Amino acid sequence: MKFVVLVKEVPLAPEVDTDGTGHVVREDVPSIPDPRCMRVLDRVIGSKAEGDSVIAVAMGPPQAEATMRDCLGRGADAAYLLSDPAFAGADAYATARALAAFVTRFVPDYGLIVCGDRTADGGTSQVPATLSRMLCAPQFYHVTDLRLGNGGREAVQDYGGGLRVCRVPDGAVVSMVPSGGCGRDPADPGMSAEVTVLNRVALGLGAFSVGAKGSKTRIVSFSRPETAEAVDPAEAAGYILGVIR
Amino acid sequence: MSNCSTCPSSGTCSIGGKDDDGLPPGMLQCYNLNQSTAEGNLVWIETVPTADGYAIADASAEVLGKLRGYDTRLFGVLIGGNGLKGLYDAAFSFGVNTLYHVKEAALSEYHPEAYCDALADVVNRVNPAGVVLGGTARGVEIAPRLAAALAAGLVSDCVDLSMDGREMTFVKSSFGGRSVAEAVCTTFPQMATMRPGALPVPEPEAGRKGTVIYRSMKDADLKGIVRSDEAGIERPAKRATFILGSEIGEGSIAVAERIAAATGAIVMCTPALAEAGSMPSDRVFDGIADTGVLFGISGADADFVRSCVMNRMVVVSADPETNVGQSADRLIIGDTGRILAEIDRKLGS
Repeated sequence: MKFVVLVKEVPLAPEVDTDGTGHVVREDVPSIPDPRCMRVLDRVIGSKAEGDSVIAVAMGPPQAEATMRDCLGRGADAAYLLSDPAFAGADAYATARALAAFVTRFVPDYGLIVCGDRTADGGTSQVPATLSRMLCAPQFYHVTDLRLGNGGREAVQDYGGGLRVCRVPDGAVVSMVPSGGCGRDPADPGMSAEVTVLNRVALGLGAFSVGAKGSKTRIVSFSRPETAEAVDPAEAAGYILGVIR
Repeated sequence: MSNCSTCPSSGTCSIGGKDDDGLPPGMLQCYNLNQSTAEGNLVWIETVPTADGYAIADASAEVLGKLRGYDTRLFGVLIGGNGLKGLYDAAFSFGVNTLYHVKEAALSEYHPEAYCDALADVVNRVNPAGVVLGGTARGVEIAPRLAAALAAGLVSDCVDLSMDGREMTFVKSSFGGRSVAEAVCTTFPQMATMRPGALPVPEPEAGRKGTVIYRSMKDADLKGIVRSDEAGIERPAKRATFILGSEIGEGSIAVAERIAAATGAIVMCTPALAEAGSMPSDRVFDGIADTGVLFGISGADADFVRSCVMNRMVVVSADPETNVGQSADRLIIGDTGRILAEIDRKLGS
């Protein structure tokens, strides 16, 4: 089975800024692979059976190639970076459209698409569901475990109020809550395997269907406090007690 | 005769010429023919089972309470079987004018694809200007699929919204609450999910009435649910984890251990604290937890903290310019020792 794992490179918050149109500027901003995505990638690679392959894909600026090399070092069989200046300013809808075009063109025989439940930057949790609707595929959110049952692959889903187990058909999009042990370091971060970079034309997408032009939302203002203010210890203690109890 | 220079009829028309759009002057501005006719707001009313039936989820009530304050029609959608009839009056009391009930016994169980199809069917019929859902576990799953089905924009995890006419502006926080953004949708319907608890739960207005419209849904896209009961499915224990960073004092470690013993939490540390010899190396946090509270975090712990994965993360640091709170749900700036002592005091240790 071919597993497609969606990963993302996220900017470090203190350095993040927006341009005049409200879009987050990612070029030349220090970034890291999203830890949730990498945990999920590790988990999929760890559960790989003979004959399975894992394909990592991300959309991002050219510098995200380092994250894709990291994916190859962790054991992914192939890594694709969707990168084009026209992709800049994409919201979740435009991002999912590019990913859907990638899957349709380059991995039409995929078995499962797996991704983290949210990322550290936007944390929108939108892409998996948007992508699954664009691919007319079933979706599984809040998945804490993906396992082989008697009738095939099953997902354990945690909706907060209760757990349930569902059969997962081939072609589904699975949004996983990372769990388990420690994240792995790349076995060979300096490996020479090639990252395939695909641009808008390679994906067969028009200029008005990607990036800011293909987005359905727009940020009109963005503000970040310069420094956080100190909190009264009693107030902080009350808040923390509410969290841990 | 008109002296209009752009008139294609060379001044032979009888209505005084045409504008650049080829229409009589002012006609496009008057009728705004390119404008969407979307009107009103629509809310998916999520339900939760209770001992004697069902209740409207707080997250949905919060959204209804916010939108009823605007002078526009409010549509609600209930999805499920006959058991939801008892919620009609409650929905009206929260401001719903027209309530759509997609009545299908099979949908008493939650099926995201089918729920999305049901909502899309109602949205296409109603043509609302805004579609807002509570950002619950189900809401965050359905909303993006619905937005994709409607080719609509979606702003998620909003903490507030405002309306100017039909135009909505959504306020959301990102980067662990360290930034605040205002966002708009560029097409109708405008869609959003609201963070549960961000808006007040409204007081019901008893006696309000509205219209109920039934919809059916044939051939719903149902999931193959193997088991939906909690019994028999092992659920991992969700204990909070304290992660002590390199800035914590020796005395505060003992206080943290005492608090953990009283609350059932686990105490771990960052690699930097273990390397300093303040805690044993087998107590280094493995990087994943459900709820984590990080005390005494400094720049030396930054890389480690960024690699942590938690469903809920609170970072306590004395450094007001710290950049380690990127992924945190809340960053608390303060004296770690005093905060721990205050928690200890509240617990009566």
